[in-house]
Amino acid sequence: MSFDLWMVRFRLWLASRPGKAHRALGRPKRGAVATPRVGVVRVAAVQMRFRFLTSAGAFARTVSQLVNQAAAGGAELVVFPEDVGMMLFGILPRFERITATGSMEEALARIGPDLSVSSIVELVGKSAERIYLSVFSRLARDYGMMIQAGSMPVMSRDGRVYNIAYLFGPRGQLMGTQLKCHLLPLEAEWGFAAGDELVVLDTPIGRVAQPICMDATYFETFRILSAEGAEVVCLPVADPDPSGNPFKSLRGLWPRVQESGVYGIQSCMVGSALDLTFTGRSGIYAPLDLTPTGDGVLAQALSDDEEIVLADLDMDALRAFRKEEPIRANAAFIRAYFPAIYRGFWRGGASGATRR
Amino acid sequence: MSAAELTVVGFRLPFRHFSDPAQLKSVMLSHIAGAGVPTESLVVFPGLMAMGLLPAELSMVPVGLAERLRQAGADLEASYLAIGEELARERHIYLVPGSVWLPAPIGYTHRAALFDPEGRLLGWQEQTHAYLWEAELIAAAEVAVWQVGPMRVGLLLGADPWVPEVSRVLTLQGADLLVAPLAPIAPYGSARAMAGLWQEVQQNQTFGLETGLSGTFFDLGVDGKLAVFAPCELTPGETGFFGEAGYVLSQQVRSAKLEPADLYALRERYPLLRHLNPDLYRRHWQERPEARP
Repeated sequence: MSFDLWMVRFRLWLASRPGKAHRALGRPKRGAVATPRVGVVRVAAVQMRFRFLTSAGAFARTVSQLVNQAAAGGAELVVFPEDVGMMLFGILPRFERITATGSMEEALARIGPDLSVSSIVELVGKSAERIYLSVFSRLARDYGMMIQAGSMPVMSRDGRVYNIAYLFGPRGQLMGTQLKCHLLPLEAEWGFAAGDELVVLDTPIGRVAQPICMDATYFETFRILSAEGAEVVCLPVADPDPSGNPFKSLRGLWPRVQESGVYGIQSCMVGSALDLTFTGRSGIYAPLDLTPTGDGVLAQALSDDEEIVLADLDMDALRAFRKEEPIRANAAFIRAYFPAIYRGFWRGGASGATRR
Repeated sequence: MSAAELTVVGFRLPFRHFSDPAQLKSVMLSHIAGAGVPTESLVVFPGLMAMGLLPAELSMVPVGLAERLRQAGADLEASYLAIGEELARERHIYLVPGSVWLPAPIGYTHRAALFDPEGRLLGWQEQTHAYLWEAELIAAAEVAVWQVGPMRVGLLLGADPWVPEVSRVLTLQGADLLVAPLAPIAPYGSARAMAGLWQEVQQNQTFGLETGLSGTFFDLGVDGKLAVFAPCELTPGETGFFGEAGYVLSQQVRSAKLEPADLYALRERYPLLRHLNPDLYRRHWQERPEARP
């Protein structure tokens, strides 16, 4: 390792010491938590504007302000957007010079030859992760709430970069993680790897899952989660589609909720970074029959900027609804086609016959 | 018409009764002629339209339906097939003459036939998933895909557009166009509709055609819709609808020229299915059979 690189790593290690973030958080500021009704859970989707943050303190203050707002609204579960942790890439020394370029490719070329986004994750990831985990854990404990901390890219022990979602419990404990299982083509180009397991967690509010963004483009994710007992699905999103088209946004969580009989909480990243523009409206969704206007929407962001969206989830109503699914399952149909229908799409499979 | 495109024509029609098969054929023919349908097009009538051949006093409430169909509908299948064959041949079109409920040895089935421009029966598709209230419906376990001009077509009946496994199987079997001749029980709002075929078209990157029966169907209200769909990226305003955004309620016919090359280019540009995670699904379905949907 060159001395310069060693120095960068050392400075990152210094910058990520938990004390810095915790000092920025100061004394806990509990929100005015509403008296919960039996069987009803108030949840919040945080719509957040992306910006690179250059210190642990700045990250802690930014996140804590949003948690405080959600707590003031009485939220017991708060969901953050995908790639929240990537904001911490700003702790990389002289990062502002990198971001002055026009595109991700140019930014990487400025840092060094043959670098990819995965290389940056390898360099800054551990320090960023340390700050990220300590801030969200502390906030969950301070406010006594569950926090789905969005996600961040992390290099795992096998040397591969995964996009990982984290759920913290009301004592600040890490309740579970979820690797993103379906990549954006862009993430595949960046060298990210896909996870191959879906996790449902037992929590004080019910059974919760936390797939990430593109996972909701594929109904299979939600069929599996629902079959494993998921009741509330948190979906951190960072959609790099500059169009902000409302029809395109109907292709994600909303239909999956209708197919699977779960509640869905979608938290969107908005704003721009380098040549990427994130769009989307955060929302809290339910099966059509469980929403007052029959449109499957309990609450939705009103703007394209930072916003907290709140709604109450009636868990008893959901459980009653799931006992009477309106369409009968067809076991013979499933047996006839699944999983064989994916033959040819299996990674490393011998046959490419059905691959288009 | 270019050999590389397929004109699809769908109808949204009020249910009515017919005195005999000749009258049903005449009504269908007038709609085809009125729409100026080119030869080799795919024409799709609303689901259950041919049930108008049954006596008007028949009750369609679910309990005992199979037995009532058995008593009243002895000739329904033969009439439906004959009309489909003749119309397809005479107009030289691909044709789905709606769908029919047909009595089975136990219960009943919901089926639709597809004819080619020579009047040959390409095949039947049966509904594979039943609503809870369709207690006597026998659900099929297989779906098929047929070559229709330059495209491969799959049919979805009844609840099938709301079961994503069905469209996924059809797509992975090569379907480029998903066709749903429906007669949905009222109320059938836009939200429920958007969660159906529109959604399947988006998540599988296919074209789609939904036709609908409206009005009073015997003693039930039906509220079908009409639309031609494509992935958002291939439609004006990126709405996923050909023509104006939303479902057609004020007109009886909608047509569109579909170019498979556009679809294949999109699939190449944004290869959604290449990022399926079959290892994940395989493990779930093989290791946790008790957790199958």
